[in-house]
Amino acid sequence: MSRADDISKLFNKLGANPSGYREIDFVHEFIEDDVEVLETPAVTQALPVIEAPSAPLLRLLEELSQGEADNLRPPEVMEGRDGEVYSEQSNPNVVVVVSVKGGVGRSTLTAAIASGLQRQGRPALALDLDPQNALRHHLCLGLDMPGVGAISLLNESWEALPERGFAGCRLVAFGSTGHEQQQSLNRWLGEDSEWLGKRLASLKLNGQDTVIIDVPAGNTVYLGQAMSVADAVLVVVQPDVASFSTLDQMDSVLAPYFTREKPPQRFYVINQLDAAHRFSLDMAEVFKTRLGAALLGTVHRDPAFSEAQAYGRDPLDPTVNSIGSQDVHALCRTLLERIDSDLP
Amino acid sequence: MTDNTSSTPFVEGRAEQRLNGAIARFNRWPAALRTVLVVASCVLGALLLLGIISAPLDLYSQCLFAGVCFLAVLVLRKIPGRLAILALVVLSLVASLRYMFWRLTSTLGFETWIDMFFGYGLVAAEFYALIVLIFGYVQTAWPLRRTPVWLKTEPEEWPTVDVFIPTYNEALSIVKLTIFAAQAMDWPKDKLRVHVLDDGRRDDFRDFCRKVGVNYIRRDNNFHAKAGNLNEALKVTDGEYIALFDADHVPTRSFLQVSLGWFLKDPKLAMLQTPHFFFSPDPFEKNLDTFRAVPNEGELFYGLVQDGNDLWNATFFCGSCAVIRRKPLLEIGGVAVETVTEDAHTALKLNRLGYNTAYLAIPQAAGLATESLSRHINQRIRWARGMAQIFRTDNPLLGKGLKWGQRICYANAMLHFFYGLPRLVFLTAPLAYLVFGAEIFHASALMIVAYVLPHLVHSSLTNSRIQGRFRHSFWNEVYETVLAWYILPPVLVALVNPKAGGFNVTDKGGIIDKQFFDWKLARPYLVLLTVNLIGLGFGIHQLIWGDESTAVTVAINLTWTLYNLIITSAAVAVASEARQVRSEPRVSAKLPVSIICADGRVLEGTTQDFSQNGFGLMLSDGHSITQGERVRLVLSRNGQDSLFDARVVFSKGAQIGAQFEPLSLRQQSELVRLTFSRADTWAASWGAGQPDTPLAALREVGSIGIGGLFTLGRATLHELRLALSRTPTKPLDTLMDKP
Repeated sequence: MSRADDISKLFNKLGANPSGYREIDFVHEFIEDDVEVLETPAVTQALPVIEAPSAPLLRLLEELSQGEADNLRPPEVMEGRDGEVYSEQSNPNVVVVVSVKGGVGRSTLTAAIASGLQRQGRPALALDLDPQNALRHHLCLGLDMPGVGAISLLNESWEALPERGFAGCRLVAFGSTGHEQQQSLNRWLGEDSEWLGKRLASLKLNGQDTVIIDVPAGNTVYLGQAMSVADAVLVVVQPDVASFSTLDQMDSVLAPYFTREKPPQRFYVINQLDAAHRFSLDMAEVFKTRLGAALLGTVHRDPAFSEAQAYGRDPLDPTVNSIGSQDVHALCRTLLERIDSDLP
Repeated sequence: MTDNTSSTPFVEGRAEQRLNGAIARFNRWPAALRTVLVVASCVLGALLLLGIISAPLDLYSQCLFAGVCFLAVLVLRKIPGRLAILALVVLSLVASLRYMFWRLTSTLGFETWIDMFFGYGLVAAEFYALIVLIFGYVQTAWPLRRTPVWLKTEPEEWPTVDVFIPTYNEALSIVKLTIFAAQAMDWPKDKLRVHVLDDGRRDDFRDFCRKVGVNYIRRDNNFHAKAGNLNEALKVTDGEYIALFDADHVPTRSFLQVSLGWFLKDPKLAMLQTPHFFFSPDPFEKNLDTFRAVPNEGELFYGLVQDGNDLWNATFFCGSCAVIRRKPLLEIGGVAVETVTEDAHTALKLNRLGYNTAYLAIPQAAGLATESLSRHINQRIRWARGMAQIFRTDNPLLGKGLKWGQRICYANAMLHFFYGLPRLVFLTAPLAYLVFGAEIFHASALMIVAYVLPHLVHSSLTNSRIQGRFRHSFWNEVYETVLAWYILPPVLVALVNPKAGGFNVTDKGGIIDKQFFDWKLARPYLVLLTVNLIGLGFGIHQLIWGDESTAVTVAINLTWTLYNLIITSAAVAVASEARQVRSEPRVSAKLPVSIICADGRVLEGTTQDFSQNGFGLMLSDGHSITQGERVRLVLSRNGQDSLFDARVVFSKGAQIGAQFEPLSLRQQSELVRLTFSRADTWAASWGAGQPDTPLAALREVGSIGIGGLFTLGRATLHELRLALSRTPTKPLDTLMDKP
């Protein structure tokens, strides 16, 4: 519900302008009965019921232990639009998804945004620049696919790398790499600041495309490479104090990249908001106050996402339409609006 | 309810705008010239009208005249706008006055005493109906349609408001809602004072008020009931304005901001009334199953009559959902205590002192309708008695201070309650001829038809056009028939001796756990039904075996009897009390809500209905929650979420019923603010009803009448079986399910 939708509906009915209405904050003290409050049960107490794993879960576990699970292939891969070809080649929009600390759901969100953009008719390419090579799980492609790590060390083109994922969006994986390979990549990328720019150019993308880059948490050479081509950077935070205290740290990490002539836009997203906890909601309010318009959206904690990943389904599958997927769609819409409004 | 966006604000047509423009130009002319013009046109119009209604015509010419007028009506009723309504009113007045003139001059040559008795009785009833018809046209032909004035100043400059919630025997669980909602009205907290006026002197009320932080006022006597209760509270409070809500009328949060603007604009304004809106069906709607389908009894008053009164500056105070300015109220000595309808009398006194009263047709509060027919009848008896008392002791047609428009509006409101006797006369009049052979019309049958038919057709088509959205054709007769017998004695007694005591029918009370037929209340309707059936028998007998020369007269009377039978059997249907299972107010409204399940799933849903104890929900596609599971419901406003613990007590596919776990006072208050006191819920379903089409309405009333006869038959069979066997067989409710 938007702000005071009941008031605007009433005013619409009266044919008047709702700006004439004054919202008055409700501040009131109640003397609560102690008994009454104690009676309020906590939902969590009802939770710990350990059940035997359900049949589909058992089957999945079995398949996983045997190595290959057929249903981990994308169940349906739609052919998305390739993007119209313009006579004049223009550069794709590049959005870098970053966070100071790990485990905030960055990869999940990167994959969801790629699939979400594609579903909204904007060709998207998800690029995994994290040596953990985890993004492929979220877009549900084969367990091992060649990626930018190994290919780049061989100095080969990326042209053959993109694979189709959910909703037809493309994925360029990092690929599995050994310790030594990662070290040499680190050295190389530290020296050649135009590494990513050149490689991206070889993918022959155009202005219709959006590249979503997943980088490791914290300040790494991958972040540096991604920021050098970024049009926008999306900082993922969680509605907790730890995340809030990292905001300044993030600013100082990103600061050097905002000195260039046309600095990228900086956006934030609150991930895994838990509507069941007052504190989580309050923290979200704190973030809203601090970040203002830079806060693009909020994504609720949604078990449907981990479920979808386990069963190899697209969490944005419209038949599921979970609250998280609605949030992601809203986020994608806002993101596109902001990026497009920034175009010359 | 809330997603109903189809109803649009009232938009004036082009003809209407031109009319308003012409009136505005006229008003700019010099006052003297205007007076001369108005008087001249009135005299001219009166002479013309006199000429038309007194012109003697033979049968053939009268038929021709009636036919032409009828054709004009058929065209006019399709034309939108107020001009067409005025034209319809003029045609209807011509037809009705012509009829009355002819009736008084050509049909009263009675020969026997019995003819005279029935004949003059009928003429008197008809005369009453004509007066009410004409006054009704004055009252309703041009509703003012006032729009709200918004407060332009800063909240710090807004005036102080005392909110009075008088209560006597209502349950705390109901009054709670009103208190929370009154507290949550959007008004600066230091200028909003909520007072609960408890005439029941209950300690649990006092404790509750202390906990939620509202003022509790108790007096040591119950003199003058509600009026006295309000007057006591006036002494111990001092806010500039007083907002009044009956204990079961829940205000929306926007109530004060919507209603107070006019007071600041018009310094002479003493009282502003808003509609009484009901979120539960009244006994008519419940027993006939017409909730929100057919406009209910109150809708005509709040939809049209009050709006019409407003044009004449004669809006009544209705006791609740209104704002009063303290100073004028104190000037007339507080709320009137002389009569049992203190509200209307208070407004009358204010108007007499030269203060203005206003009506704003935006439902900004909602309440519970009366639960059973007996309570409904009791309430109407009180109104009828009080109005008759005012008519007798402080007659609006006499006395100082009123304009003639105000006199007519007040007089009509009171005369309206005298319908008891005339209605009974109309319901039995044809029997005088069919059974007793009395010649109550001294004229040929065809002449009668030629005069009476235009009168009836024009008045009902005109009223259908004026009232269409607020009262369907023929329903007026049904409502009046149900109440006629009961309001007749109190009105007569109040006219003779205004101080004489109370009249109450026995109250079955509270929840109706079984469907049952209220034999005791239905007695008058059963008598009417029986005598009309006897009349029908006599009539058919005369038609077949009687004198051929009277066949047309018999046929006319038979048709009338048949019509009476339809109306009476519909009244019988009302007496069959439908079961009312839920005792708590439950409102159907669609609000978005998220449901957090015990396993962490977060589902989206929409409420189907809500009450203070739970929600009926429809989950989004393909989800379900098992019965017994604990969930949290998340409602949000302005991006702020509120959480309520609940348990799923009903689950069927995507439909679930969730009952709240015990909520803290803060949560209860929050819940009321997010549900009952939403600004738009009641306004959205206001005046959105089906417009009237007379034929469809007749079909509807007819089928309800047939249903009533069936129900009566079953109830009789059941009683017979009980009487024969003397052993209870089946529970009544399975037997009594309506066809």
